[in-house]
Amino acid sequence: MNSYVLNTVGLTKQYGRNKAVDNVKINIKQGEIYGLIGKNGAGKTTLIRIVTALVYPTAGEISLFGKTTPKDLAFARKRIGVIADRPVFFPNLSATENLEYYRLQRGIPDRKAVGRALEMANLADTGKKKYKHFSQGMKQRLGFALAVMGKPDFLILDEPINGLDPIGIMEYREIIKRLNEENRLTILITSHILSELYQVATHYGIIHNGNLVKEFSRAKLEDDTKRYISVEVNDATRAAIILEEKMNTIDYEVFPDNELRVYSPAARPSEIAYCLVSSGIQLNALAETCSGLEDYFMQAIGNAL
Amino acid sequence: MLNIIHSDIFRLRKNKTIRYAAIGAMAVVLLAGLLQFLVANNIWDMGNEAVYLGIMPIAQNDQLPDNAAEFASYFLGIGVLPFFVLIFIVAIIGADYSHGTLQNTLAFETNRRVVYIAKFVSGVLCSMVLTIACIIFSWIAGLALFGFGGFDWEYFERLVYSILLLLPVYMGLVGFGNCIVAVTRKTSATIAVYLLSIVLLATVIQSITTVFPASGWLAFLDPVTACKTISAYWLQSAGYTVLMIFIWLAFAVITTIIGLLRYMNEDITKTN
Repeated sequence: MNSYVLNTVGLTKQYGRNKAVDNVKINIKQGEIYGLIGKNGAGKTTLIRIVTALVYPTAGEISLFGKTTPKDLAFARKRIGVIADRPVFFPNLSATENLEYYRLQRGIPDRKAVGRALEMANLADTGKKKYKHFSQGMKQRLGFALAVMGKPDFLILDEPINGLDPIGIMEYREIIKRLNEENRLTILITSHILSELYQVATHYGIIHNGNLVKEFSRAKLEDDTKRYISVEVNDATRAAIILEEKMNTIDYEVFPDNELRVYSPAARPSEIAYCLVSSGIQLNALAETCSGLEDYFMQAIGNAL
Repeated sequence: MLNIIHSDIFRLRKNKTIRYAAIGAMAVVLLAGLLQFLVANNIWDMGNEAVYLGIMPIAQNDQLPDNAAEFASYFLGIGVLPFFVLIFIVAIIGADYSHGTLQNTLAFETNRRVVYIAKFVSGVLCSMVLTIACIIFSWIAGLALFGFGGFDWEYFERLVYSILLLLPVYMGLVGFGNCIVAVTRKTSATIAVYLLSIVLLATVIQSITTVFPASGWLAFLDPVTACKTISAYWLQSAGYTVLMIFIWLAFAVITTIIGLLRYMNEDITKTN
């Protein structure tokens, strides 16, 4: 059985000479929270619009829940809940009326679905307030309510935290995690706020200039971005030998500019400093560093250029 | 498709513009009735101005309503109905473009043909409902103004046939309006093009029929004239009426196909 929710092969969208999405091959498995990272204009939104059939691809194939034919894809797309980069609704209707409109349009028989979705998005008490009077955060949350109203199997959230306040962001994060854990809901989130994705996603993809330059798991990211202690000394090679002998440290790297990076999780900066200074090594600088998703992202983009 | 029609009707019920349009339509009925009442009772002698102002249908410019049923059928000939159709075009398919909500609909129901046809059916259905509501209202108003004297079932039958004959005209108008929306993607442009088309079409056709009297049938293409003709269809030959129905149905099919092709192949890239 194919456990992939979304597969694309050679997906391309060209506007004139510009390729908004270029030969993208993305793989999202069931139950994953997939964070799609990219700068503004990298192609995230276009990719989502192709997956949701709002934009027609110039080339390439899409497989959704293992379905590839146009007819099957049309049905498969009904299992998706989407929040666009800027949710839009009818300005003169309230939150309840807007969702009721879409409930009827989508043929959702459960009349309580609207109330449940509004509650989940913390909008249950908006009453008759019209959409045009909503704050940006409320609009974003209403978009989320629409996306989850039909109990989708695959949730696509395009820049979902835009306009949310810190508490809203925190609540949002919790809801996403809960939906993923309790319902095994597959989620694709795009953002250019990397710290947010770092906290929720289980898998990542980096998109740059329309190309998906890298896909990796959270475990791989943690492995590649592990914590280290950076030590700048007068003789890095000798310092490394001393650390090996006195602290049994073997997980380190020596750099040409007399920098030594110690990756051992047990190593403490104060112990290293004492050990080196007491052995006559001149210590110029010492810092505990953790290269995060930002560094990883910049490195991946750098490699792609 | 039924779900989409159902949801559109739900939304229109909440729409203030539609309510105001319905009230406006009723006001037109009442105004026309009052003026006809004044003319009929020689309280106000308007002469031919009544025809120019559209108060009296051209086909019946030498007559005044005898009873409520006749007044109700006169309403169809006043010539305002094509303008009310525009309100529904803007409120149903136009709103999706002007508010950017098209993406919410098409991301779920990806069979765009179904969506477009559903919006077309909603437009025609709502136009028919408004017409019937106005007919009922004009009947009530006519009852107060002209009474029930001389009524027989033929009046009622004619009224029902007139409403049914309006269907192809509405289909043509909604098809045309939806096509403009799909091509221009803007409600303001749609309103301008739609209104200009009606005005220009009437002027051009009038010029042609003046120069070439044999091309009188072209008048059917003008929706205002078509509505007036329908309001007194029994005064025309059956062939004339059939030709008119055929012309409007063909227009509906052509404009719907053009609009549909545009709607189906369009990339939805922008929101408000």
